[in-house]
Amino acid sequence: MSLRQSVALLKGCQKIAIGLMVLHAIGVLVVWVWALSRPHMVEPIEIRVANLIALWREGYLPYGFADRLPAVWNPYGFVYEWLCSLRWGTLHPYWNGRLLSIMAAMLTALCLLLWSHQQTGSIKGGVVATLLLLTAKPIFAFGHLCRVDMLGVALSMLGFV
Amino acid sequence: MMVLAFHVKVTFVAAPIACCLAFWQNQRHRAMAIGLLWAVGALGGLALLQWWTKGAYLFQAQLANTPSLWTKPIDMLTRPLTSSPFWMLALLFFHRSQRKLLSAPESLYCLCSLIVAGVTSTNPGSSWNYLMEFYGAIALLTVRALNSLPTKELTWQLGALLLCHALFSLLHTSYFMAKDVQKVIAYVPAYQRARSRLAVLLRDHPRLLIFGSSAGMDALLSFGKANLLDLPDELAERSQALMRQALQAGSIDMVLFGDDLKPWHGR
Repeated sequence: MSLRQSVALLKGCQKIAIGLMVLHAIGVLVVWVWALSRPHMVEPIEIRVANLIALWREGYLPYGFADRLPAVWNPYGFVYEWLCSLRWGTLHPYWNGRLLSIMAAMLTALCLLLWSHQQTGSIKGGVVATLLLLTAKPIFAFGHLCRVDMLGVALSMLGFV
Repeated sequence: MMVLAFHVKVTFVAAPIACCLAFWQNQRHRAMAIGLLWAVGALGGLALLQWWTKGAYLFQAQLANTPSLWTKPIDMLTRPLTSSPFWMLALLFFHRSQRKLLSAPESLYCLCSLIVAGVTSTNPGSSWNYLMEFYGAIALLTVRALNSLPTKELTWQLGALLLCHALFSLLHTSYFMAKDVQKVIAYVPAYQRARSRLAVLLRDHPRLLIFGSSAGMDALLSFGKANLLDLPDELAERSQALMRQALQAGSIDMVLFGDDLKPWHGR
């Protein structure tokens, strides 16, 4: 194989890799949207978080010494739970939480595009990094759940950039 | 933003530490200003919340979160190597060819988030979510690496590694997502059973308490009601004492126990 042929092959590799990662991202987003539509939990911790959100909505402050009702375990800060407890189109108990997490994932992608644009004026590197980020297990498995983590990551990264 | 992140979960401290370290090299005053502002916002907010909740805020943060599994960090910190080997390899490759990447702010952020993940993962309930911020930092570092490709040769090698990563990820993600979806589908009948049982019971007993049943609690939430009791398993005895008290005082109508949602009478 000549040098020119090898170069062409490797350039093709990059394009195929990007194509496969776009395919991967579409698959992840399909599962995320499917999960968003489920009216029940898709991961056990979601129940605990959704219950805390329901308590906020009912006017309770879900921080206590577990010595009288409501007695719940709440190791999280107030920002995510309070935001989810606001009535912005609640279709089911997990809707607000999952939607907020998906929006936070989009914010994270925006951070990467911004970071790339700041450095070179182009967003190409940011697009590839976003596709790569979606292949990370913690992101594709937890990024859409009614859990506090994705919002925390998005805010931290936004602060960092 | 970093202050808000801290109030989402108190473990989000890697970004402000990395910012301070990055600025410390050239702009010490700026580093100190960022650190001070963050400390005022985060720790001041924490003190305010402690006062507002009469000390329960921090009590809750550490409840059932005590470090106990000291071998867990080893498992946690090696996970990126086993779940995204080609991505990590590509970054190591970059670090070798471009030494200045090592001192980039993103590298400091990766290091800080990895240390935080290592320390916090000693609690028994830690899982993959502890690595989310690390992956965010890795993505930022990837942006810098991609934007500073020095030679054409490196671009080709990166292309090959990217292709390996994409192929690996398609299989890896499909496997885990299919497993998760299967679990959810298998759970639906239990949720629907609990929902039909609660639909009948809630008519006569609006103040219900569910104990020891995820499907039951999930179903209660679907009726727009919160469960007033949800303590970790370690505090099962305290949960039972609270249920007994509430039943005796008449502040709740009924306690339902276990996946069959049987009435619980205090024994």
